[in-house]
Amino acid sequence: MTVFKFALLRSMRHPVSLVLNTAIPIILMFIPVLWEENAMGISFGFSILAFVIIFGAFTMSKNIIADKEDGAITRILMGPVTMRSYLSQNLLSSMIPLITQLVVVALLGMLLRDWSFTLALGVFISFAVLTATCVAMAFAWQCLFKNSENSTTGFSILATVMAMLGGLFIPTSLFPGILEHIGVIFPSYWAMHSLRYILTYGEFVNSFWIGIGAMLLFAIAFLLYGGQRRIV
Amino acid sequence: MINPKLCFGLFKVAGFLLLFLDLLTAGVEITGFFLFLFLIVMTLLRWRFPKLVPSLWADAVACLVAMVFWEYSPIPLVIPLFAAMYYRHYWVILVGIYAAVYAIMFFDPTLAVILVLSAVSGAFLGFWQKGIQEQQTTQDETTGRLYQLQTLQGELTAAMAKVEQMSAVAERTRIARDIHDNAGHDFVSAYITLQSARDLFDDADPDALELYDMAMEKLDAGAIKIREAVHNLSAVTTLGISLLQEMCDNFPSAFNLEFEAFGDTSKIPMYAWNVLEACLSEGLTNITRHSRATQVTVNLDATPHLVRLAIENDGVVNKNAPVGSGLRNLRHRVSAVGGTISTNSGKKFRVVCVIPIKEDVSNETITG
Repeated sequence: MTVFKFALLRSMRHPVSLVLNTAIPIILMFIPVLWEENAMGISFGFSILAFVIIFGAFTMSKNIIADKEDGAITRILMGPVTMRSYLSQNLLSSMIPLITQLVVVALLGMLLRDWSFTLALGVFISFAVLTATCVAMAFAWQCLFKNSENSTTGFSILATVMAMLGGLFIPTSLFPGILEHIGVIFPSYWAMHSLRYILTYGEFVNSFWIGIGAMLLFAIAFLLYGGQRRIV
Repeated sequence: MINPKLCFGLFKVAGFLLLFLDLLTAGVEITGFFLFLFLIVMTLLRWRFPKLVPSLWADAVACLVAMVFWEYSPIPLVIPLFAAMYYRHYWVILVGIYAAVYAIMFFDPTLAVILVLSAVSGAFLGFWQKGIQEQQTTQDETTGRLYQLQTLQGELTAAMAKVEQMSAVAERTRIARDIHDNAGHDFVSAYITLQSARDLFDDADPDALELYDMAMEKLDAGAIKIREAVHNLSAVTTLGISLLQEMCDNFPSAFNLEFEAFGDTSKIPMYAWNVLEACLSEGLTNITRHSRATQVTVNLDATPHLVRLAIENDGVVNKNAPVGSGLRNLRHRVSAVGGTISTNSGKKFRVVCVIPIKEDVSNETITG
């Protein structure tokens, strides 16, 4: 797990990662206005948290393209490290801090926002699966580019579109024509789908698991795509 | 450059886009969307792991289940149908026919036409790809054969050069031996006789004695020159049986190699020694690389008409292992001198090389 250890240390050393993965989610929990129910049926705090996760996942998985850029990947693979172990340990190191922050968020939700255990668990599961999907998506995205500037710019646009069409900030039902449903191709749509059901019913209904299943399928698709691309 | 793989990929991407558009216009039914996602995942899975191509049946089953239980249109079946025809999995034709009939009966007949078109285009791309693959295989085989021929040619050229060199060395050895054994002995004998006769000429004419002593000095210098010449002509490298013995002595002791020679090896011609050396070298190399031998035996039998080299070891790993390029090239070299090389794999692995001795060239031999 040497790669995992160093990838984790390197990710957490980055100030943006540190803010996205520790400060913002905890600060959000202490702002009561964000957790009041709104017209969407989902508190604004959840939308911001999902947006933070999307960017956090991208920032955490930047190591892969950084290694590609400075040639470190070639040197790493010269040692007794396989490509599979390098990638899996990097992805795991990107996921662990994000999932840890979600545990903290769920606990703070129970303490500060009176969430029931089921609701906290539902929120945790939805966001944890969204995290895994976003890390896989960021990994697949990184594999498309040769330098980090293009990759970051492209991902900023993608994340904004994903947030808009995926219904993070505006209900998709307000969109006209086919735009109402086009968001289904983004994991954020399904995260909101699951959240909506857990918040509405307070228990794990079938529709909740449909959203989780869709996100998992997305994660598999992204991992398969990213795994096929040459990163050296 | 346009190729069947690119066309296949483009068709797939276009198919998924159209399918998604169809889903969007129908209001994105959950079942349809999950089927769409499942087809994407399976396509990526086969793209990532080409060995999983037979998993196409899972796509077809998923589409059929979607058609039957949720009354979903057979449009998604276009993708597995196209892919299965491309990979020449013709069982899918039955599924295609069923879907086409289903489409005609319950949906729009145009759907049946789309299904047939996708199957035909998949089959066309598949045949195109197969043609290219066959062409590449033929090209690779031709290149492989050419490479083998070039290797063999190089080895034969090197062997010829070595035979030439060994012949020269053998000839020098023979000249040195003749000078040493015949002319050299006679010369030294005459010199000693003349030295002994010197005392008989004490009363002779001083001028004659002076001439005699000068002649003796010349003879002394001549004897030294003959000795040096013989020394210089003698071969430094080992040849023939000595070389084989040396190779066996240098073989790792862990293999317990035993070398035995029978018969008169002095009659074996130079070209045969060259082949025997190559044969022994290849045999010993193969033992170190491919066997787990604990006992190796090398026997050389020389008769007036043929020479036989047998290399035997008890470390057989794979009885049905194919013949390597080294042994194959060696077979060509042995057959070039009229001999044969055979292998036998039982409890022990044995390589036997038999070379006939031709009378007309047997004068080029090593006898000392």
